[in-house]
Amino acid sequence: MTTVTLQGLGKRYGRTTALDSVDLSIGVGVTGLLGPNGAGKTTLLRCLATALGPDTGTIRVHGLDPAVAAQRTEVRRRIGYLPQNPGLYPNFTAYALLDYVAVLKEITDRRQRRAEVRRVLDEVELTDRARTKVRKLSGGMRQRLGLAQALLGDPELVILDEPTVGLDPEQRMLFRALISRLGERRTVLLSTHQTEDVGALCERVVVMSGGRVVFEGGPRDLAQVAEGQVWLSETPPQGNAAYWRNADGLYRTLGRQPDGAEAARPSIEDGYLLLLGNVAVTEAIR
Amino acid sequence: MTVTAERIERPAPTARTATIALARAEARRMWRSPLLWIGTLLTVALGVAWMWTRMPSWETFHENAGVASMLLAAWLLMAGHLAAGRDRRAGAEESTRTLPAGPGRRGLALLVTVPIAAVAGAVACLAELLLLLPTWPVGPYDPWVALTLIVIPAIGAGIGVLIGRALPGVAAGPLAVVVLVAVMFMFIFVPNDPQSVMTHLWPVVHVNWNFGLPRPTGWHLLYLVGVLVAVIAANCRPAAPRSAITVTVLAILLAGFAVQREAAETPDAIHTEEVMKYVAPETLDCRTHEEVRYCALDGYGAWIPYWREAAEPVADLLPAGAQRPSIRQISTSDNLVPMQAGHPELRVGDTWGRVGSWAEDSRVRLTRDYAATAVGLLRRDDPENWRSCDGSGQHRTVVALWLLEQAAPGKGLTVPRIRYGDAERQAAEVLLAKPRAEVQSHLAAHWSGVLDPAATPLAALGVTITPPPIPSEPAPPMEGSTTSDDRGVCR
Repeated sequence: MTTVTLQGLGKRYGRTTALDSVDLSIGVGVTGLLGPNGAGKTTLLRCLATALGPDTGTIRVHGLDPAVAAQRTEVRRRIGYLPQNPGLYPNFTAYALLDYVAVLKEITDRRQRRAEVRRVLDEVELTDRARTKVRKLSGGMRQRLGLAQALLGDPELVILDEPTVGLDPEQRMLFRALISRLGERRTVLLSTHQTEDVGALCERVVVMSGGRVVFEGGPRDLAQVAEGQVWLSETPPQGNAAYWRNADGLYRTLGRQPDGAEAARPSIEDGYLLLLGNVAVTEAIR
Repeated sequence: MTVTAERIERPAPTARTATIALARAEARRMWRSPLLWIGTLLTVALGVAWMWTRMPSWETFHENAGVASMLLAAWLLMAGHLAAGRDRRAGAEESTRTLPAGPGRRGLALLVTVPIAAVAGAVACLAELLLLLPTWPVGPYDPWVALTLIVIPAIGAGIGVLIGRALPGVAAGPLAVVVLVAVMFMFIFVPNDPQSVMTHLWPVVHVNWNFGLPRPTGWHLLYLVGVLVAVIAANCRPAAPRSAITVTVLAILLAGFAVQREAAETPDAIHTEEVMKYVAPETLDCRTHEEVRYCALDGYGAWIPYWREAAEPVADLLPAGAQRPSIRQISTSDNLVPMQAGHPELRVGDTWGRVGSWAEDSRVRLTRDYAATAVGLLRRDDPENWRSCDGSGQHRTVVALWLLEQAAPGKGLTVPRIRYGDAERQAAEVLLAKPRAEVQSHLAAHWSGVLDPAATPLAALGVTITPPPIPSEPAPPMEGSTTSDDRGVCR
C-alpha cells in the first residue's frame, strides 16, 4: 500500500514563487494537473520526480522521503518520469535507448532487460520501430518512446509533463488510450493545458494557479464550478463579459446571464476558466 | 485525496552489480563507436606509413607507434567525451537525474572506456607489427616502452570522460584535443635540452639522437601511469570525493617525481666519450662471414644478412690476403677508433631500406662505401673523413669503380664523397672491357700498388691516367671558412 503525499511544498526562483505551500495526496489512477503557464505545474512535477529539491515542505513517495539521499534512490526506483523535453539521444535506436535507460534503472539482468524493453515497446506500440534511430522517428513516436522509457521497470508512480503537446489528433487518441491503461493499476500524474485530456482521462483533477492548488476534485466537480454561469445567446452580450462564438454560430458567455441568453450545460473548460478568473479566460479566448 | 497503489517488488541490485551492468552497457556502446574503429584504423595506417620504407628497430617502432597512439588517444578522448557528456546533452539531464543510477555510478561505469582504449592501443600496435611482416623490429626490446603504447590511449579516453562530465557540449571534445595538441607540441619544441623535464613530459619515449643508448623508460612509464591514475581518480570524484582528491594529488606527485628522475637519468647523448661507453666494441654482436667481420649493436644482428648482401659481392672480388674491411654499426657519435688497429672498417647507421627502391638504395650505398673503403679511399679512422676529397688520376679510384660495376651492375659508377671525372670513368670502362678474371688476377698481383694513391698499378692494363702529387696534409678549409667540405687530394 503506497501513498504520494506533498505537505507545505514551496519553491522559489529568485523573487518568483513557483510553489506556495502545496498540500496534495495522489494515488492510483490518472490525476490531471491543470493550470495556466507559470502556475507551477512543471516545478511540482520536477520536485516529485526528484529532479528538483523543494525549498520548504515535505514529499513522501510510498512513505519515502526523497530529501534523504538513501531514500531518494529508492524513490527513483519507483517512479517513471517523462519531462517536457525527454532528451532522447538522436543517434540511438529506440531499442538501444530503452536498453540504456533500463540499465540506468538498475535492470541488470540482460534477459530481464530485453524482456522489459520489448514489453514497453509493445505497450507504446513501437515494436516495429525498435531498430529505427530516434532522429528518424516522428514527433508522436518520440513522445511514445519517451513514455516507454518512463514505463521501464514498471514504476508505481508515472509522472508525465504535458505528454500530449504537439501531437496530432490520432497520436493524441493513442496516447490517451495508453495513459488510461496505465492508470488502471499505477499512479499517473500528468500536467496538461488540454481540458479535453482531463475530461477524457482523469479521475481526479488538480488545478493550480500562482503556485497554489486552487481546485482538487473530479472532472465533473470542476464542471460543476460553472453551473449556472454558462449561457448561449444569438447576439453578443453587452459589457465586459467573457464570451466566444461557437461552431453553431451561438455566443457562449461565462458569468452573468446576458439578455435573451439561455442556460447551457457547463464543461470542464468552463469550470476551469471561471475558477482561474479573467486572466485564464482572456488567455483561453486569445 | 489519498489513493493507494500495489507495489510490484523487484529487489534492488547491489551497487556493484548495477555499476558492472552499466559498465557493460558503456563497453558495448564504446565497441560500436565509429570513433574507436576509425581512430584505430587511422592509427594503424599512420604507424605503418611511417615505417613502410625503413627496416624497423624497436626504438623507431615504438616512437612511430607512440606518436600514432597519440592520434588514437585524441579519437578516444572524443569518444570518451561524447559518452560522458551524453547524459547532459540533448536535454537528457532532467531525465537521467531522476534515475537510480546517479552521477557517481555513471562516472565509475564510464571508466570502462579506459581499458577499452588500452586494448585498442595494443590492437593497433599489434596490427602495425603484423602489417610490417616479414620484417620484424631489431634492437633491444623494451617492455616498458611497449606498455606506454597502451597507456597513452587510455589516458586520452580518461581525459575525454573527465572533460565530458564538466563540459558536455559536443564541441568541447575536439576543442580539448586542439588545446592538448598545442600543449604537447610545446613539450618538444620549447625545450632544447634532452635532460629538461619539459622534454620528457611529451608522452612518447624519445629516441636518442645517438641511437642504441639506454633510456630510463621505466620512469617514463611510471610518469604516464601516474597521469592515468590521476585522471581515473579525478573521474571517481563524484563517487568518492575525499579518496579521489587524495589519490589524484598523490598520482600527480608520483608522475612529477618519475618525470624528474627520467630527465636526470637520461644519458648525455652529446659527448662522444659518454656515447661510446654504451656502444663500445665489446658490447657489439660481431660475426665473421667470408672473411668479413660484421659488428652490430645489441639486438641489431638480424640486419647482418642485409649488410652481407651489399658487401660480399665486393669482398669476393678482392684478392686473397687483401684486408677485407669490417662493417661496424655505430651510433651517431663516432670516436673514430677502429676495433682493430690498422684494419679498415666502415660504419653503418640505424637505418636500412625495408622494401623496393628503399632497400635497393641502402644496399647500393653500402656496396659503394665498401668498395671505396676496400681500396683505401674512405677511412673511418680519418678525422677528416666527413670531408670529400679529389680522387682524380688515382688508380684506386678506377679500381673502386670497376669493383662497383662488378658488384652492382648498372647502378652507376659513383663512389661516395670522392671527386673524379670522365678520365677515371673511361679508365674503368677500359678495365670493364677486359675479362674479369684477367683484371682480378692483375689486381691480386698488384694489390699493394692499388692501395698506394701515388702508384700506377693499372698501367699494364692500358689505364693511362696519372695521379697528382699526394700531399702529406689535408688541404685546409678555404680562406674565411672553417666549414669547407673539401680536403683536396685524397691521401
